[in-house]
Order: sequence, then C-alpha cells, then structure tokens
Amino acid sequence: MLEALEGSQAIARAVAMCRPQVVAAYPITPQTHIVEGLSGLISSGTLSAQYISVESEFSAASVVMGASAAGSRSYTASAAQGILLMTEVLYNTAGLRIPTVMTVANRAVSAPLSIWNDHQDSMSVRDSGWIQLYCASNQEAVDTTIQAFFISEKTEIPVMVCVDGYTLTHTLEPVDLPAQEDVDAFLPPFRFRRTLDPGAPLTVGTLVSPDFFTEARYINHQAIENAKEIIREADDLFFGLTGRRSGALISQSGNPSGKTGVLVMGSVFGTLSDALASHDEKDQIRLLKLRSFRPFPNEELREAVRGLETLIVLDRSLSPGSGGGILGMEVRSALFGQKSAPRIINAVAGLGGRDLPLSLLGSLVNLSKSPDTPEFLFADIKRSRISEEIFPVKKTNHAEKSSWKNFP
Amino acid sequence: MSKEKIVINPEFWDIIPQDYRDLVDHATYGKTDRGWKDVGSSTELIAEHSLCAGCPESIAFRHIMASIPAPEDTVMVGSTGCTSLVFPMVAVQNIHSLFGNQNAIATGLKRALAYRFPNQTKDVIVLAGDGATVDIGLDMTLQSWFRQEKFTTICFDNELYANTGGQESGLMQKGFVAKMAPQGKKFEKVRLPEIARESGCAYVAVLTTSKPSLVERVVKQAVLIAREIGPTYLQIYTPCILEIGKQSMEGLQEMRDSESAGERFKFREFITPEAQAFIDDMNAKKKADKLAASANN
Ligand SMILES: Cc1ncc(C[n+]2csc(CCOP(=O)(O)OP(=O)(O)O)c2C)c(N)n1
Ligand code: SF4
Ligand SMILES: [Mg+2]
Repeated sequence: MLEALEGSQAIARAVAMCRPQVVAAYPITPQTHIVEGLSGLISSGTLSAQYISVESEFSAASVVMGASAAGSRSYTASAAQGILLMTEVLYNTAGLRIPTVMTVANRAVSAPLSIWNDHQDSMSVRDSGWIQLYCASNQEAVDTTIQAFFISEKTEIPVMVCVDGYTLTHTLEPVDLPAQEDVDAFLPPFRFRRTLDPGAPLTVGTLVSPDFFTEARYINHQAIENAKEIIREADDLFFGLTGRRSGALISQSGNPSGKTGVLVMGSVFGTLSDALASHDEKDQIRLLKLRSFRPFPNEELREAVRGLETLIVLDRSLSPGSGGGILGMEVRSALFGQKSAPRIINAVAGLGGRDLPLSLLGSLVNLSKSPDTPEFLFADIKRSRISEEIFPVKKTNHAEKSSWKNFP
Repeated sequence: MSKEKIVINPEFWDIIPQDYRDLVDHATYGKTDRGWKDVGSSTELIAEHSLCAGCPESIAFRHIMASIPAPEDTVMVGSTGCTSLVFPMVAVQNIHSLFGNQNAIATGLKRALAYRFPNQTKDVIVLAGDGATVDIGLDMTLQSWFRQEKFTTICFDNELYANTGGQESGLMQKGFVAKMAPQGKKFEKVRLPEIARESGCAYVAVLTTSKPSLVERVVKQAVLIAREIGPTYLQIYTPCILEIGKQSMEGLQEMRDSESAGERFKFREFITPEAQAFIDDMNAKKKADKLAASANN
C-alpha cells in the first residue's frame, strides 16, 4: 500500500521491519530524523531492540561493530563529518568482516562548512572495504535498506546505503513498505558464524605479520568482488517478493541504442529521467544509473556503454589534485583501453547542495556536441561569484604584513 | 588593534555612517575598564546575532564580549552548534574548526601565540556548547586540562543538542524527555565542574547569565587566571527556550529558577590557593593604585 512518507521516516520503518537488535547512533543533519524515528519505534514498543545514544560517531560505529560481533543484527546511520569521524572504525569493521548496515544521508564535508547534499562523505571512505549502494528514490531507499541486511549477512561485509541528504531524507514521496511477513521471509534471523562465545573462544583483530597480511587483504578483496553476485541475487529475490527492482549493480533507461550516455548515482537520476521525457533529442540519450559503487561493476559498465559515442559522467564529489571527480576517474579506469570506448566527459555538479534543475540534462548533453569540451569541468559553476572575497589566500592579516617588514 | 589607531578626518564626520560614529563614540576596544555596563552602548564586538529571538545564548554572548579583559589580544575558538551561528558576527578574531576538537585547536593556538609573542599578552578562549564540551569533545577537553594548557574553556550549557533539534546530551538532566530519549534520559547530568576541578583546572565556576555583574567577574577572573596560572572552566546555563518550550521573554526567569538554592545552576566556584593568591594580589594592587590616584587628585 502506498503511503506518503518522508524519506527518513520510510527508512526508519524499513530498518525496523528488518528487526535489528541493536541500534546506536549520534545525531547529525540530515540523518537525524532516521534515528529519531527508530528511537520512537523502540520506545513505543513497535520494535524490540537496544537503542544506544552515544557521544560520537566513532562510538556509534564501534557499538554496532561490537553488537554484530556478539551475533546481533545492528544498524547505524550518519552523514558528512560523522562518516569521516567513523573512518578508522569503518576500515576495521570491513577488515574483520563483521556484517552491519549503515545509512549515509549524503552531505558535503567541511570545510567550507555545508549541511547540504553531495557525495563527498561516502566517497571519502570508498576504500574502507564496505559495500556502497546509492539510491535514486525513497522507494529504492526502503528496498535497498532491506536488501542491505541480506547482502551484508550473506557476504559478511558491512553495507552502506547512500541516500541523498534532504533531496531524499526530507522529501515526502509515495512509498510502499513491504508486508512484514515478506520481509521476514526475505531476511531470516541473523546467524553469525564467528560470534564471540566462551564455549568456542576466538581472538578477533590480532596483529598480522607481513607473512600473511597480503593474503588477508587478498581474501577481503576477493570477497567484495564476489559480492556482486549476491547484490544481483538480492535484487532478484526482492523482485520476486514485491515486483520491484532497485537496479542491481547498474541499470539503464532512455534509448538503449542512444549515442549519448549520461551516468549518475543517486537521486539526480529522477530529475534527469523527468527531464528526458520531454527532451527534444530523447532518442539520442541513454541514462545509466550506477547503484553499486563498491563493488564497482567494471564488466557490467563496459556492457552498458557499448555503442555510445560520448559518455557524460556526473560527479557529486571531488578528488582535489587528481584532475577530476571520483566517479569520473573510476569510470575512466574501467573503460581504459576498451575498443571503441566512448569519449568521456566528467562533469562535477551539485556540490554542497547546489540545485540540480531539470535543465541540467540539456546542458550536459550539449557538452557532448563541442569537440572543445574539456575532459573534466565544473558544470554549474557561476564564475561571476568567484570574487576576491571568497579567496582565502588573498587575505593577509595587517599585523602579519607589518611584521614581515622586519625580515631582510 | 585599538580604535585609537583609526582616526577620522573631522571634515568627513557628517558622511560617516551612524554605526561607525557610534563605534568611535562608544567602543571599549583597547580600554582596561570595560565591563558589562558597556553592553548597551558598545556594539563593536557583537551587534546582531542569528539565534532564536530571546535565546539566552545571545545574552551570554553579549555579557562575555563586554567582559573579556583584552578583546584586541584575544582569539576565540568556537565549535559546531548554535554558538557557531554567532561567531561570524563577532568582532573578536575567532576560528571554528569541527564539532568537538575546540580544546585541541585552542592548545595549538595558545602554544603558538606564546611562542611567537613571548612578551605579549595573548588570551585564548574556547566557547562551545555542552555537546561539544562534554560529549564528542570530552577527551580533548580533559586532555587540555591534564596538560595544564593556559586558556579558558566556556561551556554554554543548554542541556541538549539545540542545533540538531533537541537530542539528549551528557549534561542533560536525568529523566528529561528529548528526541532520541523519548522515555527520558537514563543517567545523571555529568558532573563536569567537579571533573574539571579534579583534572587540574585552577578556576571553575557554574552560573547562569542572569546576573551580568557576576558574569563579568567570573569571566575576567577565568581569563586572567588562565593567562598566569593554568586552565579555567566556566559552565553557564543558557537554556534553549525553543526546545524546552518557553517564550522569547521567558529565558531570564528560567535561569533565575534554576539558580535558586538546591537547583543545578546555583552559583558555585572553585579556585586553587595559588589562583586565589594571584587574584588577591591583583585586587590589592588595584586598590592601591586607586588610592594613589585619588591622593594625587
Ligand atoms: C562529527 C559531527 N557529528 C555530529 C555533528 C552534528 N551536530 C552539529 S551541532 C550538534 C549539537 C550541538 O550541541 P551543543 O554542543 O550542545 O551546542 P548547542 O547547539 O546546543 O548550542 C551536532 C550533533 C557534527 N557537526 N559533527
Ligand atoms: S535552538 Fe535553542 S539554543 Fe539554538 S538559538 Fe534557538 S533557543 Fe537558542
Ligand atoms: Mg547544547
């Protein structure tokens, strides 16, 4: 049954349907409503779970890791600074192969300080070893959250469900929450093989010598590569249950033989889909929606771009000094050396909450028409706003200036 | 920098904006006898703010700004939270880094200033919310005290996370119902003032901002002791009227109610004998100077 739900409320209810036993969280905009929703569901008795209000995200990530290690299904959510403060724990959780699920309400990372949406936070921890799935709508957020527990518990790899802050978390959309029986059938109770148990003692997290470190990393690397299969399986099974797919690893829409491709992650897909419906050259355009950024579906991407002349990769995050956006680099490396690979234009847009309007599609597609378009550009920069005022390095403290006079 | 250094050509006086003229007439920057009585007339340190109307944090800001002994030689360190909405409008040099690392940033600042300007006074004051001071930043707060860093930490205690919409904090009272604590907070308000005393602070005070003269006294004392002796800590009740459901005019009464006998913000202070001797000495000198001045007149 469709209900009009705020993204955060929908996600909180989807999490509750997965029956987590331990929830630990720390508030940060725009994630807060999700964990407030869960604390309400637990306090009203709708969900039976331990709720732990901690003092920082570092603790939140650590608490859920401890809870999972003890054999409980656990959940947390965060954003931006919170994700970065968790970083050390995130690597540790994935390295120790401890399953858990976290929602990332995607937000820009300070400085400059911003509470608005882009993908810098989750992209900054892309090498932590977590699976990362990006959602295009609140329905996908609900469905992916439920799938995430399945994927995490089957692969023993933690999963991040990335939803655009505000655009999804604070927006009401019609959402269908599956029936509890269906979720229960899809997601059996959590059984962790390596749970800490005095009857069969284990040491977790010991020092690994150079003799075995590479092999341990290799095993983790293989495991996340193999997770592709489980991600596909989860989407198929969920389809069988609800009639809905969230796009497995990567999916496409528009004209499958269009010559101009636009590849995106997250909710901007909805905007571009709407724009496409009334676009003059819609027959030329193929929209690609990347859902799984980790593991990165190299093979599937190569398949999806076959026949494209140009591929425009829309990035919502930057790797300063790398010459481009993060998604752009990944796509380039996946397609490097491929026969008849499309020309790739990497455009960054929508940083720190800048609006991504319907007209974005037209302006991206236009980039493909000029041979002079650079390989990488800021697509929505307003050059007139680059004033002396916002250049931090152009300011000199007067006192410093006068003290420099003393130097020879 | 003192305003005496900015001289306005009298010929231009009539075209100088009123705000600026007020500044020239009333600014207390650079004067030694500044204090809470200047709040109404001196607007150079904080004129406007973007907090909720009637928010006691804004009053506390004004009282503190009027009381810091040497604003021209002070660097303030903020943190994330409602206070960070005010700092962009404060004319004391200040830095906001992240949520929780304020006492570590202040440590670096204070040490570097002392190193670069060995013969000058450079005060560092941290001003942060209770979440920043006691929860996410507690390790950095405590470690700076253990290390005897010579700066003042001021906590605006509104007993919750105001900026993210009213969640539980370590300084919230036990039993208080908040978002993320719908059944009431489970454990006692953290006794940070006592912890501060045991962690090496030379001066600690707990108060509200209802009495400006008291705020002036403790702020001056805290900054001067930090300058000479060691870390100091002030915990000031600045109720979040929005989250506790009070009207704009009700903040003052809320503070008064909470500082009556037996209540959590009943004024209390702790001072080490060394810091007390320093203050006594300073007061005696002041008195002697005054006497000498009146004898000369
Ligand atoms: C690492 C990190 N986690 C969470 C946040 C979100 N956050 C911003 S302000 C705040 C609460 C501030 O509370 P407090 O320090 O008490 O200040 P107040 O707003 O109450 O004055 C939180 C949780 C953040 N900015 N950074
Ligand atoms: S939310 Fe509370 S603390 Fe923040 S400005 Fe408003 S009244 Fe003040
Ligand atoms: Mg607070």
